[in-house]
Amino acid sequence: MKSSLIIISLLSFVVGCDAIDAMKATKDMKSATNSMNEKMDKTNIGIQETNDSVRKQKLILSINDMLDDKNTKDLEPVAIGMIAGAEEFGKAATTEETIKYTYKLLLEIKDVKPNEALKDTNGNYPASVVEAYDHKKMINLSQIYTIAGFYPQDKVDQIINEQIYGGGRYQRTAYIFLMARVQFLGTYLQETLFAEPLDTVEAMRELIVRLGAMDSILKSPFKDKVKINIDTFIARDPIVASLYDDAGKMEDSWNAPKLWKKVLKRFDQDLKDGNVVEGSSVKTTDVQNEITQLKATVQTYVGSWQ
Amino acid sequence: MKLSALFLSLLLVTQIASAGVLTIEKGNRSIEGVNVGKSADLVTISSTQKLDYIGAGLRTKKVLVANVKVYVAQIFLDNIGKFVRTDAGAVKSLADMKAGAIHLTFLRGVDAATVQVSFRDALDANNIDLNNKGIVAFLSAVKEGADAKDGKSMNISLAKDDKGVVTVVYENTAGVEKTITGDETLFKGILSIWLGEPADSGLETLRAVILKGE
Repeated sequence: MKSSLIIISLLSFVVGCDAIDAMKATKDMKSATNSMNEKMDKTNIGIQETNDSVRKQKLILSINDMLDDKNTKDLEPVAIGMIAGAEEFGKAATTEETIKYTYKLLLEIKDVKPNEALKDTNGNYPASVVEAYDHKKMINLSQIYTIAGFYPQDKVDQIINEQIYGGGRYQRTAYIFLMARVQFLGTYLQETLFAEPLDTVEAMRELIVRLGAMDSILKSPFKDKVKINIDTFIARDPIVASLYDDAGKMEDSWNAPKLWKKVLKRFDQDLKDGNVVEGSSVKTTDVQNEITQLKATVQTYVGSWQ
Repeated sequence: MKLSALFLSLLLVTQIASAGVLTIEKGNRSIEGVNVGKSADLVTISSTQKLDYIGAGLRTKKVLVANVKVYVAQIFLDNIGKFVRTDAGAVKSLADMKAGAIHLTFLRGVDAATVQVSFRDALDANNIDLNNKGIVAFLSAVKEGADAKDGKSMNISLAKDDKGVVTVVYENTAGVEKTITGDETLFKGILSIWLGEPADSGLETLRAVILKGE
């Protein structure tokens, strides 16, 4: 942008000169411009490198945060401690880094086994080893759930384009990532927004955005391939989930048609007149207008499942 | 209003004694460390009514990959002989009941607003009119009540008189009681949370166990 402005101003200068001077000046200018452009390019590259270093630094910090002892202690029912790190990861990571990181975590979940030498004289692993082993796998899985759950929608769309529609190297990983996203979002909504009175327009807006994110995966042309199957724990039950069961039913937490109807009822149950504190008529009108728009959006979603 | 009419209306409102209305007789088994009662006594203004054990079970909720234990529910009704132990028949048979009680012992902390929302969702799943006066008062009592804490219990005691007036005493986990009156919808509505159309798969499993009556 800056270099193009310089070129335009330099060209304006040329117009006022005589032909020869103009030709000479143009030659000189071209040389000066080229030199300037080179410097600008170098500066831009330098800035990009700095930006990328900062971004990568943020990425490392976000992973470190997720893996901090205090955040990996209590992973169930939801690894709440990992959420902040997962959100930062989502902002900092490219889609390629995200899918590769997910792939790496899944590989560890699948392949890492306890050392045979740790087995007792009966050939069994002691309880402490089993617990630590399963917990390590849950740490990896919890990272996938929290990252996928809070991953920005535009990047999710990019992953779908690159890995699923584009036949990417990590297509299977992308299906698992999307299943994790639906599971996590469903749980998040059940445990937070649906569990509370939906009595502010912002809460309603957030609910619609997050439910909409699940909705698009549930309706996708590849919906039957979106599933997860983690069966490499020693003690705990396998984690198996798919968007739809064999009978075509969805689980309660991501049953979009049912959930949209529930949201529609909440407008009347919880969000009557916007539930705003009177005092600003402008704000009150804004809120009421937004409620009307949001309700229309939800009605469209309800209709889309009929 | 004449004094006699006022007295009569007060009598109806306080048909269930206002304090310590429900006593559960200890049983021989437990669920998640919670003793399951054999029967219960519901103290009304005029008498103590014996309630039969209908069933009990664990309310779980799937949270991501874990099945979280929420509470142990115990249901008691006054006329076990007329109670129909089927999905379709259970709520219908409540028409033959005059009294009942629900005893919930929480295994997980749940704030009062969340308890209210879960009850409301279950009432909604059973097409209970959420604008019914008694239902509104009941949900309000739940919302304003204490948060459900791990190991604490709440009681919902219900009695219906010959004129169809229903009195409910909601005792929250802090032991504070609130009396609510209403019509048949209140009686049927509250019990349909556990015996009617399940609002989610966790309640579906719980209903199945309660209907078995083991």
